Order: sequence, then C-alpha cells, then structure tokens
Amino acid sequence: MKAVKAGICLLAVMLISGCWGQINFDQLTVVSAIGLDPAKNNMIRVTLQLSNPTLPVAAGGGSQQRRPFVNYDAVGVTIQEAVERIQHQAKKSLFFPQTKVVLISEQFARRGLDDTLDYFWRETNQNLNSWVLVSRMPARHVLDKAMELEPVPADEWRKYLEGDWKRPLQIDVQMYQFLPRLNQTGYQAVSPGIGPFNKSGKSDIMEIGDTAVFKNDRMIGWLSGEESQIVNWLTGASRHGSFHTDLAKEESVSFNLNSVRAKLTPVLSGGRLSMQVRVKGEAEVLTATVPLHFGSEHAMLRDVLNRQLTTAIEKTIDKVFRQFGSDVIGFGETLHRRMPAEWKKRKPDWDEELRGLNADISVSFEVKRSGLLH
Amino acid sequence: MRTLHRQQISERQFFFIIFVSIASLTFFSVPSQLIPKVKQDLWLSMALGAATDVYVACLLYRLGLKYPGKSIVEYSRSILGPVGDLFSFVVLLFFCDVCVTAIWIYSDLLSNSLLPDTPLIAFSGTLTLCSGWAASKGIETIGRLSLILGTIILISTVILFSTSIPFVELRHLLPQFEDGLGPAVGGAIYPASWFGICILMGMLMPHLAHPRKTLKVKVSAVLLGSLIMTGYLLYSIAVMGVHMASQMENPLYVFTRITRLVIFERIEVLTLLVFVSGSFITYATLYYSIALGCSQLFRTKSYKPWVYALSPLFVVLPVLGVTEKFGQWPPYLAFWFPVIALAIEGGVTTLLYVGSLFRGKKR
Repeated sequence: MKAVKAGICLLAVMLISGCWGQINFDQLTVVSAIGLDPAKNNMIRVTLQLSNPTLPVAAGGGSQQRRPFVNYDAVGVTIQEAVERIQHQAKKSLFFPQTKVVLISEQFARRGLDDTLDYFWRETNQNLNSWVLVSRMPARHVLDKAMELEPVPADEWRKYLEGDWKRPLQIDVQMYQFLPRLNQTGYQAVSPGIGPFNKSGKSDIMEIGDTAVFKNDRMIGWLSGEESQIVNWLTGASRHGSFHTDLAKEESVSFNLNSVRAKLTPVLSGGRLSMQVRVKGEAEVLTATVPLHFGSEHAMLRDVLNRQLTTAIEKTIDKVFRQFGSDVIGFGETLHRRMPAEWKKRKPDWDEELRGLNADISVSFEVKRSGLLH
Repeated sequence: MRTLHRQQISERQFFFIIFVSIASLTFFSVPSQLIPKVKQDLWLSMALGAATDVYVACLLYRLGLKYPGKSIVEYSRSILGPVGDLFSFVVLLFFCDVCVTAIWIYSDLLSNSLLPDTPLIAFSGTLTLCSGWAASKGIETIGRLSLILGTIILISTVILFSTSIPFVELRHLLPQFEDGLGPAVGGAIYPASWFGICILMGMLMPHLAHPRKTLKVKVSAVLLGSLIMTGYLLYSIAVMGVHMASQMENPLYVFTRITRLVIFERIEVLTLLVFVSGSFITYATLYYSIALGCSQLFRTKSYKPWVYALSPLFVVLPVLGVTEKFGQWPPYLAFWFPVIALAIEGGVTTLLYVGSLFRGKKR
C-alpha cells in the first residue's frame, strides 16, 4: 500500500512541473492594441500593437535601444484568421488578456461590425475591459503614427479613458458594454473617436474626442463634444460638465456644472408615446467676458443657462433620434423597464417610433456660486 | 457495520460541507441554464430552489431522528425491506450520475476557459485522485478541509462583492417579472435539482455529533449558499446586462473576467481556484457517500474498496465522447437531469417518509 501511495506522490510531482501548453515568458508577447480596418473582398485587416518590454536599468536594460512596441498587420476573412497570420510574423505567442484598446476604423465601422466582432464574445482570452475607439483614419495608421508621452500609445489612451479627470465631453466605453449594444434595439452603441490633432511629419499627436454613433452594428455619424456631454447626462454616465452661454453679442459666461441628474420618463397619452426629460443640477460661474453682479443678475443668469441648455438638449435628441434614428440614450430600455407590455408592442417598429417621438424637456439648474464676491 | 459510523463531524463542519457544495455546484452548473431562461427574476427561482431543499431536509431530519445512527441506505431497508434496497440503489446511482455530470461540466469549463491544451482526462483524473484520497480518509478529513475552504469562499465573496460595486448597474435588473411568474417558477427546477444533491445529508447525519441540530445547521447552510450564489448571478447580470449574461456559457466566470478584486484585474483564475477547491469538497463528500452507501447496501466490511473500485468510473466516464455528446445534448441538462434529480431527491425521500409513517403505525 505504501508503495502505491509513494507512486501516486511521484506522479503528482510530474503534474506540478506545469500544465499542458505552458508558455515561457520569453515566448510571449503582450498585445497592447488591436486595430480593425476593412480590406478588399469583404476581408478584415487586423493590426496588432505588440509591447516590447525593456529591462529595468538595474537588470542591465539601461543601454537598450529597443522600440517600445512593434505593429504587425495581416488580412483575413475573420479576425482569427488574420491573428493566426500575425502569429507567424511575430513568431511568439500572442497574449491578449492585457489588451488596452481596440481601434475600429470609421470606414470599417460604417461597413457593419456584427458578423466580425463575435470573435471578442467567443475568444475567452480577449480582454472584455479593453476600451473601444473609432478612428477617423485607418486604424493601422493611427497605431503606426501615434506619438504620445507614454512609450506605448495604447497605455496612454487607456490611462486617459480610465481617468476621472478627463473632460466630461468625452464618452467612454469598454468592450463588454459595447458588444451587447450592437444588437440591442432599445439602447444602441456609441464609442469615442480618435484622430490626428496635429500632423507633424512622421508621427501625429492623437486627439480623443467626439462620439461615433451606431445604429445596430453600423456606424452612422458623429456627435460633437457638447452633444456627447448631453448623451452622457441622459444615460447617467456623467454628473459633471461645462457649458458656455451667450448673454449678448460677444458676451458670454462659462459654467461648471455639477450634480447633474437626468430622468427620462415615458409618457403614454391617448396611445401616443412621448418622452419626458427632466435635467437638474448645480452650476457655478467659471469665467465671464462681462462684469457680473451676481446678486441682481442671479435670476437672469439661471434663466439664460436653463433656456440655452434646453435648446442644446433638444437639438441633441433631435439629432440622434430623427437624423440618425439611433437610440443611444437608451429610451427604449427605459420604456422596457417602466412599461414592459408597451415595449413589447412597440419594439418591432422602434426605429419608426423613435423618429416620431416628442420630447418634453425641462431643465432646472441652480447657479450656486459666482467664484467672486462681486 | 456500526464501525463505519465511528467518524464524527461537528455542526460547523457539516455547515461548511453543505455550504461549499451548494456554492460550487451552483457556480459550475446552474448559470448556463438559469440566466437565459429566467433572466432578472432568477432570485425567485433560487429562493424556490432553496425552499424545495429545506422541505427535503425536513423529511430527512425526521427520518434521521426516527432511525438514529442509520444512514438513508440503512433506514430505507428498515422501512421498505428489499424495495428499500432498490430505492437506495437508485439514490446511489443518481449520486454517481451527479458526480459524472458535475465532473464533465467542471472539466469542460476549465478546458474552454483556462487550460485549453490540457486533455479533459487530466481534470477528471486529478479531481478524482484528490477527492478519492480525501474520501478514503473519511468524513472527518473532508469536514476539516471544508472549514478552511468554506471560509476562503466566504471571505473572497464578500471582498469581490464589495469591490465590484462600481461595475454594477442596478437598472439591468429591471423589469421584474416581465413575462409573469411562470418563467421564475419553472426555472426553479434548476437550482432545486442541484441544491437537492444535499440529500447526502441522509448519509452524513449519523456522523454528526449532535443530530438534533442537523436541521437548523442544514437550513442555515442552504440559505447562506443560495443567498451568496444568487448574489453572484445577480451581480453578473447587473454588470454585463441580461443580453450578454444570457449568451455566455458561464456568466459568473465572465463577471469575474470583467470586475476587479481591490486593485487586481483579471481575477477569473483566482475565482476558479476558489470554486475548484469547493468542487473538491463536494466531490469528496459525494464520493465518500457513494462508497459508504455501496458498502452498506452490499454489506461489505469497509467502504474503502469501493473508493478504489469507483475511481475509474469517475476518471473515464466524464471524458468519454459518448458522455460529452450526451452532456451537450440540450434536453439533458435543460430537462432530463433536473426532472430525474427532483424525482429522486423529492420523490424518494417523500415516499420513504410516508413509508416510515405507516411503519410506525404498524408497530
């Protein structure tokens, strides 16, 4: 019996040497970013930004002259096929769980994504927390030309998108939030855009801004920073913001907005559906191009701010619902949560419903601080 | 035969054996069936599943007190004679089916998610080796291990739930009862059938130091286990949304891929480690109960030879092509397994209890 036990122990030692398919660290390379572009014959061009880690100085890496990253690209019918081709080029095992960013070129997004992005659903090594960006130029060019403070551009973009300090005009979305909304009727997908801000020869400074709007799996247009901020409020993604009001010709006041709360309520009246939008919050004056007497002009400032915000929200809703026909605000989902039976009836024709939807908008911001006594 | 019952476990050890079994079986087996069918209303299914298990626990408790020191296999014979032996055989066969099915699900998940190049037999082999070894050492060993692993599951769950709050969107849990109560009530068969495996209480009760406390301990363990696993299921929906959660093979695993544990990302390996350890306790307890039950049914001197005799079954059966095909055959896990499980867990225990009432009157 003892001999049997000893034999089993010896076998167990064999098991702890490592699992099947173990990969040594030097055979592994981390994929920092994935770029997706359209290619000829309905194929996909995949670009992978592979990190090339440098050794710490203490470990003898001080004098190393290595590129911090290398980009490889290949074309395939599916993403998987292209990735397999890149694997042959890189001659290393590709490590996806730490991918920071997935860049989708505008051209590819406008072609439609649903039948290609299932790779990110199925492949268990993919990072569902990677940030999604739509690039105004081919994703391969963005990855090749981006010049950032961090050695690997994808690291810089990820830190920016993760940071709480980023501008409220910015929408951000991670892969696990983006994927389901590509085929969800009542709450459709958006993604921040990225494009060259300042072309300077070989490399470009990239700017993350504006928002790509999708209708189902297809991109249909862009929202500006201010419109993105309003979508952020209406979806509850952000409670802060800034807004510039025009008092008169060449007289403007900028506000910082805090504690912004938006409430969408479906209202059914005589079989006709409408949307009630209530937005409230607090404002503080940041800068003014004219002298302000906060005591006497407080009510006027508040009214101007509320009026101009109402107009901006109206315009944004009009743009997404009527111009794009896309429910990026998630009003369909609000209806689904509040009136499930009504949603079932209206879901099949939701696109049509959206275009004819009336929005009753009410904005109530209180101007709390002027920043100065007078 | 009395020598087989010499080992004793405390109430706390029994509590953790049941708690860990519920947690690990639910983690691996319930989500893929429950979330697509019941969605946000799954908390009601889980509550009904727990209630069904409490009902079965009450019957087993009464039977255990009526026949002190006897296991379900032994008092089945006392109540129904040779027919009771047939009942015991069916229960033991069902335990074997649970083991094979659960090892298959466990191996399949590990192979698909974590170790794609590792052959399935390595999972079933190592699990059977470890749990069989613990089973051969007896229920005291399993009880002591369950104290450690149960505490780890509890602590890691509390930390995970707290640090996942920023990822939660409560609106994903609405609307409730969109299609009425029907789906939630119907869906209760999935948690009920897997929780019901705890009829192995009928095998463990003779080992308890204070059998009178069994029901209270069992009910507490079932309630805590189902509460925590309902938390996991609701968290996965609240984080991913029901649309994504209902398409994933194991949404609980995907939830741990998305969320963070304090500052650590990609903690799915840690979570799998915790629940794989939990599975080890579950299989060890099941393995021990089957071996002990066989020795009592076939009146052998010791249960240990049964541990060795059953091992090839648990290593090979879960990874056979036929088993895999059968497991992937949708009606098996969606219909046949829960129906058969409930018929045995609820049906056999109810029949035994009713039989014991007549037996009592006859006396």
